[in-house]
Amino acid sequence: MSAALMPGRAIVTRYLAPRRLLRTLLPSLSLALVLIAIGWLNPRAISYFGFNLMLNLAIPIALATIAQMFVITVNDLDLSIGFFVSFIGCVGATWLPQRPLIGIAMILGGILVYALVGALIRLRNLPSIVGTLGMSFVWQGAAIILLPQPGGAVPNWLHGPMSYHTPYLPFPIVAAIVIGLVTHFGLMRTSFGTVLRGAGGNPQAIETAGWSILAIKMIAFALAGVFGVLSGLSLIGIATAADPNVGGGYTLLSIAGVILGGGEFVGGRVSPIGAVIGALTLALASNSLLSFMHVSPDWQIGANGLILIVILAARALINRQEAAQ
Amino acid sequence: MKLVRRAASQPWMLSFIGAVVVFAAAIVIAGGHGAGSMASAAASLAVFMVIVGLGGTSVGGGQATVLGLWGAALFLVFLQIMLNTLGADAGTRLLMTGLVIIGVITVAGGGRRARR
Repeated sequence: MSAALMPGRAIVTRYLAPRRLLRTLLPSLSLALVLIAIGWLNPRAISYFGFNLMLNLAIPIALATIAQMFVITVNDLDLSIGFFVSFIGCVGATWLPQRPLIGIAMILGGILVYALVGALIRLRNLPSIVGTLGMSFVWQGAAIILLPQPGGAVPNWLHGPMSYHTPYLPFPIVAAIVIGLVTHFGLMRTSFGTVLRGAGGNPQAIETAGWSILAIKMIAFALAGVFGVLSGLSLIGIATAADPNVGGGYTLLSIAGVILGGGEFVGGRVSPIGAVIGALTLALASNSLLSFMHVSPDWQIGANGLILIVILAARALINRQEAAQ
Repeated sequence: MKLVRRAASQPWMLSFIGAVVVFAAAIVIAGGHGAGSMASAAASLAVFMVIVGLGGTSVGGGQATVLGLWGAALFLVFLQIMLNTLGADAGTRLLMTGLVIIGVITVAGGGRRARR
């Protein structure tokens, strides 16, 4: 065995071992499976126009999923992201067009509150589930106070870009690729991204190395806030109106998207590209696929859960076999 | 008896006991309202999580107690009654509930190892 062959061999055993490869590819495989099913049920959906329609609302979901991913990276869980997206949408449809400065101040204030919640969770050693659940009441209340009924006016500079038609590839797909690549580079390739993931994997080691866990948590939560803002603004850009209750479903969708994309609840093991793919899969499976299958809306929530359980069971099975080896 | 105790500590058995309790709770709630609805289920889910969080995992330092859960449930119900009596609208009510929850866990919480 020559030494020159060793690195190649290491790559083969590390990345190309069948089960590991299967686990890495599982998010893409689930997406492909959903796409094949849609194409088989309705061939005309697999087109530029079809994807534009089917994936339009996937952009805010993907952004909310990335926001959730940053919080899961540091071993916390954010149950407030859905109503934060609603709140930002309501700010964007009320204050932003009329008094842009106040609107921008409110949005920046929202991001600041997110960072402070991260600090509070760290300083008082609180369970993040209860803390962020409390915040979800706060965001929902604030959204309803701003805009009691769905409506409002969306500024043109928000609506314009969201209805832009890119050549060859539909805009939602281009947006998903950009979101995935940017966050992948930031979290997986930069040194700060590594510290962020390290704070989830082994906080003691990161603290010993001289980093402040408090600052890391605040930055992770602030990043979640930033992507929550992007999600809320893109949502009202597509819908051209805001609804204080629309974000309720986003919280659980975003958690499911992160886990579907190969992330783990603890240990800082997340995958940005997987999370985006997970969000797309969920968006397609929950709306388009079930509608094409003529599942009545009454049963769609249940069928949605069933799809999720099947995919997660497949992953648990692969993980168990990998661990047994 | 030993067998029963061992079976009761199994995860699937705990889930089953939980399901039975939830079933009973659902009947009580539906009975109280005179009807069942999806919206009340979604709202209750969040409230139940807060009750468990307040009454057990955060205030009790990771140890849920029956008394703690009971206290947290009463606390939330009285908070809602108070806000309703003060004539707060839906938005303010939610906002205040959230702030009170965060206030309570900030003051009372913070056990040694109260990670989620």
